[in-house]
Amino acid sequence: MQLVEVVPGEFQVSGEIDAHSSESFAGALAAAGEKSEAAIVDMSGVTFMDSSGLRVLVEAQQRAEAGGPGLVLRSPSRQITRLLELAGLTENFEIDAPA
Amino acid sequence: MNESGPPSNRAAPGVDLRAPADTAQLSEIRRRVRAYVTDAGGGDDVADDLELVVSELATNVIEHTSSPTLTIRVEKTLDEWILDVADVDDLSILEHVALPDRSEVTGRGLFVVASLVDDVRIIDDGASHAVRCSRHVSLLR
Repeated sequence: MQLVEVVPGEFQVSGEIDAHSSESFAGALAAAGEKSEAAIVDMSGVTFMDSSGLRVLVEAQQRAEAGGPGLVLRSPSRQITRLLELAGLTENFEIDAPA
Repeated sequence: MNESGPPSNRAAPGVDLRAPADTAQLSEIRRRVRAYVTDAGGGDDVADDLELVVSELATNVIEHTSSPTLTIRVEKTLDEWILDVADVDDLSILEHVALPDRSEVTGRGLFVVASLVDDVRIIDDGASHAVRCSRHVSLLR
């Protein structure tokens, strides 16, 4: 898993997010939030995510709702979109999915 | 990771995987399960779903049991995909699988698993307990 800042406030995450990488993802996402008031996170490069990744996203969203940095998920893959739907979390997130 | 019985076609027997109960093994386990499903004629939807199922169940073994080893079997019969993940020492884990409140941070893995397959149960092979997931081959989702 890698998370890089492509332009100020916009980040791109790539690789697999599971129980092995979720701690790194959480740290990188928290660090991204410290750099901007709202982080746009491009998820198109994530090749796999399970509920370990969901946990990190829910925590980040809860920080946003508590007045922390905002979070926008951009271009999640079909697998991530389905995972969010199955977990009943689609409406928890602001999802930007440009055509 | 130790492996035996790699399938070469639809008629091939299931594949058995054994690996240390370590999250570092998850990526390779998913890759092996996906390869089996693809070789056995499963489409991307089945491969995506069983990849997610095995990841959730293997993570559960690693994080919530004392088992030092992950023992996994995936098999396609004439009408079902069957995935076994052992060793499970909490035989009650499937008794109350429910979607948690949206504000809850954890607890969605088993619900997601149950949503992706047709049946989830605990099986006892005499030496250990495994979670067995079954999914109809012809099921359209």
